Amino acid sequence: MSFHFVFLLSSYLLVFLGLVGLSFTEDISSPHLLIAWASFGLGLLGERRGGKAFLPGIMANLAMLVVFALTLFSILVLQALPVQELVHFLLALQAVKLLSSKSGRDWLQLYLLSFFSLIAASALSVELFFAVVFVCYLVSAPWTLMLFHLKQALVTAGKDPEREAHLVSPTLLRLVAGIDAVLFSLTLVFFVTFPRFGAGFFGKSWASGVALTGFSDRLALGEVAEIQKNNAVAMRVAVDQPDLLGGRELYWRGVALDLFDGRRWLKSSSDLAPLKRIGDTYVVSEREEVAAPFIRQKIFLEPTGSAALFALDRPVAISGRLYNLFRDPLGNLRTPYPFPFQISYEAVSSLRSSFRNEPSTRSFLQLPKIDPRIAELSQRLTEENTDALTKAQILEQYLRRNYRYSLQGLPASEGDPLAVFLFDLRQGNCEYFASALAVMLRGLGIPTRVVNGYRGGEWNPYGQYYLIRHANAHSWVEAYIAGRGWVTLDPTPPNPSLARVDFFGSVNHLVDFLRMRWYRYVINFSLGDQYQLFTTLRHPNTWFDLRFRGLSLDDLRQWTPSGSGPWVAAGLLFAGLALGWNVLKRMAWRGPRSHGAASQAAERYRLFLAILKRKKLTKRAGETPDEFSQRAEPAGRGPIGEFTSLYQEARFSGHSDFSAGLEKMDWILTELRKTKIQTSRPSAPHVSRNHPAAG
Amino acid sequence: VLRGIQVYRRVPGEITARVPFAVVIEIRNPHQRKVSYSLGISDGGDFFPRRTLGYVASLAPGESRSFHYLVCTEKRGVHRFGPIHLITRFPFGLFEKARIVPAEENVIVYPGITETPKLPDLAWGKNHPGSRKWRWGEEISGLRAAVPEDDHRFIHWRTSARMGQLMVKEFVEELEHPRPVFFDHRGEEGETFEQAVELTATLLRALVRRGVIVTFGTWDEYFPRIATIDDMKSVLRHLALISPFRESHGAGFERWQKEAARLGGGVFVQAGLFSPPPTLTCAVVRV
Repeated sequence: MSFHFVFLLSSYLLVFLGLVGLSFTEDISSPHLLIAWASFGLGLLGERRGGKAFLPGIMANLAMLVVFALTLFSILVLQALPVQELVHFLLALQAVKLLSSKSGRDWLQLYLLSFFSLIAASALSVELFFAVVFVCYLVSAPWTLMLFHLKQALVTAGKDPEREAHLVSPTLLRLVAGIDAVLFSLTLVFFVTFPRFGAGFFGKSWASGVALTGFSDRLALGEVAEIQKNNAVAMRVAVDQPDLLGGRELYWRGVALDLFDGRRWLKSSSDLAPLKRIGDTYVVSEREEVAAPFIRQKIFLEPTGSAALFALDRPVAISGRLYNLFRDPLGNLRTPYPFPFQISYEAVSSLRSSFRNEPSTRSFLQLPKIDPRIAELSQRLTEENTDALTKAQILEQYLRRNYRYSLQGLPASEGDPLAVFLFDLRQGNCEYFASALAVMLRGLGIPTRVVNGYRGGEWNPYGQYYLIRHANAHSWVEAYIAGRGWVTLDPTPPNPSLARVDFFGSVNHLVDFLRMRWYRYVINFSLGDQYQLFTTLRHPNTWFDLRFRGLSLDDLRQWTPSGSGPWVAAGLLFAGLALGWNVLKRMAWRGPRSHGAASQAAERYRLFLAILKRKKLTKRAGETPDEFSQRAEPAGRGPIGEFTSLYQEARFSGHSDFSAGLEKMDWILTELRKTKIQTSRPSAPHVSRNHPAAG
Repeated sequence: VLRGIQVYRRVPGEITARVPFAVVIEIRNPHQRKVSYSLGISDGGDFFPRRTLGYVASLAPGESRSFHYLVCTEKRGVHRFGPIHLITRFPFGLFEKARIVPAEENVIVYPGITETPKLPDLAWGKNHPGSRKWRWGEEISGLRAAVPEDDHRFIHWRTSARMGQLMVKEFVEELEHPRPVFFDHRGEEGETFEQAVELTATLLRALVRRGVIVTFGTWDEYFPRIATIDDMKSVLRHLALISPFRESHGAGFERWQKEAARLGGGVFVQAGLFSPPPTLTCAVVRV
């Protein structure tokens, strides 16, 4: 492969990665992206045709001016978002560069533009795909810059890069891999240690979640069905004791509503009471109201456009970086404002407790004008029972068994929707089931409210958390039973369409696990995380408490059979010795560091001059070794001349093996040290010729 | 990239002012595994400004590369090469890193060659070139490497082709009397003095190459016999380093005077105001 081809390939790869990064942000307008991609394709085509430029130089300059003027116009006159306009400007510049002819500096500008594209993508996206693009960029950028530097240096030195194709070699690749490893490490260190001050500058752009009317203060029949058609992730919940939830249907409580007008559920009161706060923790229920067991949940809630918080029924305490938290008379928890980006908080719930507060208003028994057949039906079904709880359960089971779950053909727009549901269609989604039960129970004088939230969730075995999608959105009923408080009733039969985990489901779980880690440890890496990390590092005794997928080093230690310590130590020692031996062997294989015959001879020559200087025979400045030798031995060639010849031979002959010559030089040096030299008249020292190498 | 890389400079043994000479730079990677990339080599001295003179894109383990550059100095004397700088901007071309290799070196630059002065027959010996009886020696004493000013007629082409450099024939000396040449260097430093030095060197070269055995003296030094190019080296080195003589008496002059008296005359190159003794028959050469 020619150098130029590899260079072009890697350069365009860098541009490609920048474009991919921006394309996935969904914040960049399609025409701009289309132009950028078209330019990319044309640029490649031009390179294939030998570097053909589609835009002449003057046109390129003109185009840049026009783009600049348009950007200013958009920002200043049309009041467009500056960030987006700057990114558009970036894309347009890149397009112009790709279409014009490219010399050395132009390539560098293209690299810079692709780098800025990546920066812009990082600001506009919090998705996991960015991690993939970032890693690819980090791998390819050093390679491309290295090739660019080599190309430039060769051209500057007047050489043809094509004749240096051997540069693109496995050795260079290994070098780049090493540089990449260093870069990754530095990036990681920088990421972990860089002080966090709060949400990022572009934090608002995270608000890409679906606005869910189902979790607001009003709910029209049929709206939850729309939410359920969305398979996007709503939240992820990690629990500290998953065993406690085994076999239990999970209800993630969100918003309860008490007023029904025949088509919509509403809240009768908009009162909000701030929750008592202790440190970072908000107390939802007082201790005497709840009973064990408790379960702790770490909830990562995607932006929903709602201010509601979700937790397993019944929440006891909420903690996290929530600046205020309120509760209304229906027990709903909410923040002051809808949050526009993903948040995380911890909730502690009591699994055996229910809300016990007596209904203080008549709103829980309020009924609109409804079809009288509904009341007749409920009376007929429960006439043999007097216990409120039994009546409620009979109606719950009746609906579960005799009606079918469906998201299609809902009766929202026809007459009395509940009557249509109960007597005509006999199918519907959870809202109809819940509304029907609530209305039927109210007809029997049992206070009820409809609760909206999520039911169930997929267990992600990779991340050990529940994945709850919008498709899990659900409505159920809470009925107040004297002596038992608010009892949860769910008349909805199981939804057959909810995901079964097959192979692709498993892959999805893995991807979601990575995405969650990305959110948790990259996007949401906070000052608190930094503090925790550094505190842990400062206390090595806590390292054993660190858990990886629920497994700590202490657990491992417990699993080790007792009395096996010496064997483990012996094994480790053996492994260490083997490793050390391997390293030593490799060092021995490399052999001693060779300094080359020339430099070794030069060292000896310096020593030689020092010896002669001590004997008052000094080499003059500017005197060549030969001249010095002739001056020192005017009578003829002696040991000085011989040494000089050996020195010059070692230095200039290019012999790879000059060990015999070096040995001879050593011998002459030894002899010279013993010899007296007359200082008045420089003459050659007498050296006996009894060395075998002396010739 | 730079650590451990060995760099050597090779300078010719004889350098003459105003004659370009080639300096060879050899660069070697002594490492067993490491490859060095993008190495620039810059060199300079007190007689030419430092500049990047070579570039090696990659140097494999154990590999040696060499290149040369031509340089020229205007003046005779001792000139100094500075250290060699090994430069790289590898890997990304953003920052320049340099390693200074201590390779300082002094070289002696012989006086430059000027136009050969016109001399009376006496100066050339009895069979000087141009006289009717003169002829080059017939018997070849040996071959030597050609130097500037050599007559192309004496190039031994076959040997030159074999050796890869121009070789000229040397003939057995046929002239029996050495010519005593004296350089009066009691003038002032300056352009005139330099011209006189160059004139002397040119004269001596011309005489020796034409087969004349000469003796050469200055006020402070005397060279009893200069017959070959090798003999010339010590004379040229002396002339390369010579500076105006400040004293009124010198041993070199006395020895030359005796020799000139014995042979019946000599050549006197005049840089100062001193004139040859009137008792001697001398060819006086002035700048």
